[in-house]
Amino acid sequence: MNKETQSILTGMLGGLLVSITVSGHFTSYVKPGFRPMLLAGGIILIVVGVASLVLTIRDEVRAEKARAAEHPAGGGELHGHDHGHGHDHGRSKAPWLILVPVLVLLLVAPPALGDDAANRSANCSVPAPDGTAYANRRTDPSPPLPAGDPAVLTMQDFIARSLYDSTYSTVDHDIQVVAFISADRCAGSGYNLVRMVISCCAADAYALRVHVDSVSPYPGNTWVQATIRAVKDAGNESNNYVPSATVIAMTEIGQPSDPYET
Amino acid sequence: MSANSADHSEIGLRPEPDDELTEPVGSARYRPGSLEIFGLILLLAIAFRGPLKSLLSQGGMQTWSTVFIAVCVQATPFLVLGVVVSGAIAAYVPARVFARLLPANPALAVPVAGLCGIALPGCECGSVPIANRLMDRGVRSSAALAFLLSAPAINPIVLVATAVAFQTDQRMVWARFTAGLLTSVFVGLIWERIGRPEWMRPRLPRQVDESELPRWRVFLATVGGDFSQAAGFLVIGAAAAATFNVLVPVAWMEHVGSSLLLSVLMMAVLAFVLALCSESDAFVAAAFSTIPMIGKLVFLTVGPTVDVKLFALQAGTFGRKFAVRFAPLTFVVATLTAVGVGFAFFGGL
Repeated sequence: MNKETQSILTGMLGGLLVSITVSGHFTSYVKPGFRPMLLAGGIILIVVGVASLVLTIRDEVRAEKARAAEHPAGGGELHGHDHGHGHDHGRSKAPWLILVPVLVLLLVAPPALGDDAANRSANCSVPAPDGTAYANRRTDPSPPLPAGDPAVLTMQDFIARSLYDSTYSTVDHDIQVVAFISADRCAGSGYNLVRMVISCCAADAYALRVHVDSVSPYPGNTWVQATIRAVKDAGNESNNYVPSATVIAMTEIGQPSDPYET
Repeated sequence: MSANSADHSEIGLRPEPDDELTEPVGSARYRPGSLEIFGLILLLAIAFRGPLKSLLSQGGMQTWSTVFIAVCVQATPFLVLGVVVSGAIAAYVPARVFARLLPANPALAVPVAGLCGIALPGCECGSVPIANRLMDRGVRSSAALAFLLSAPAINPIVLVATAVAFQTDQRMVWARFTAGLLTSVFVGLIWERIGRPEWMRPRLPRQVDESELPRWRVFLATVGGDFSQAAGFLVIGAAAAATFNVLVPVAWMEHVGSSLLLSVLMMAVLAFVLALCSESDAFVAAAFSTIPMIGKLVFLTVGPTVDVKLFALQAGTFGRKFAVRFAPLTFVVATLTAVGVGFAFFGGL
């Protein structure tokens, strides 16, 4: 790849990084804390790409002029644009691969992880009962619910309370969560309310799941705001501690600005 | 990185026989230049946008493309940091500075270089171009490699992230620091003994004549060149990591904690194939509830030093002959060191 193309690609990648950061789409891939790093990295790449392009073209125009001055008859054209002079990094083919993420981002812009990833990260196998008696995990009361009716909780908080809260706060109160719909392939019936958790980027995602024992009103991957109550003592060692909930109200919403919990 | 391009076709990148390097300059035969090819690919991709989009939105492919882009997006800022530091070294730091800074004796230079890794806050992708530049500047390759291995494992950001992830057991922070530093020193010293220069891609004299160009142009040329070279290989690594991410069954990750040996091996292999950023791997490790602490430490020690993404980057930067020797060596040393350090810190848990 010659230096011009390489500079254009570098600048394009930088521009795409800046554009997904400004548009907020970057939260589909990494956590929001990456914003300053992505902006800085993207701007550096744009500057490097544009500056290298301008300098390379300027150098070639000058070289062309010098050649034209030496051979006024015009023998210089054959030494055209691609086989240049002193192109330090100009020969490798590796930079072509930058086209792959550039094109995928530009043309497809993959959405946040959804139904498929949730099912992939679900582990349905349960160890066979070996006679172990599991101690009651509801040893401590959770802190009081946040104000509001329904109280708004993250999925993590809802699941932790549903499994461990000795005061059963999610059983006795209406709780509002934001999640997407995913068919429950472990239980075989009903559906899951799912939210993915990432600690850095989508490569380390895992699913938080709450089982609902009814037919889903929406297809998979639909984002919903749901008012739910936990079913008492539903999550245990026989279902990999996936709590169940009953749905009181549910409305379809767009994908939240940060589709993941962290 | 004035690499000969034969090396690139060797690692399976567009193995075309004709090549810009071997092409006689000024041949009269028409050959489309890269700009034309670039335009053509762009046009084709836009024309086939619909099929491309529907292909990448089916189940597993959608997860794959999201994870692939996520790894690229997450790693690029760190790679930029790495090439900027590398460019600054090339343009502004003369070789004699490193000669003065590092002891001449390799037995001392390797640990000192390993400790210098504390100073580079980033993840693993950034340290590859820097280590390459250090070698250009006359640093012994064993010392530069020790830096390469230690920087992503022991810098303050990674240690703080580990402390946050392992709030219940802070010993992990120091265990990780110790295992990361020891691994880099051990591998550096072993490489000092067994490493051969011919395994590395030959270092051609730089074609940018540095004495002629102003420093900022050297800086710009290095940043641009290093970035597009390394980013190309990062893309291979990201694609491999995304593939494993989609294919590795989750059942592997849970329910394996029963045997120590098995869990150590599995965590080492997982760290290699998942290619997580060293600033986030602690959170993932902490989530493996059934794995003993030693297994988690193995994950945190192997991950920053060797994974699919790094392997691709190293093969691209230093040559394939280097990577196929260095990566297994690092893998074995990191695993054994982590097990040893793990027993010292956590006992037989």
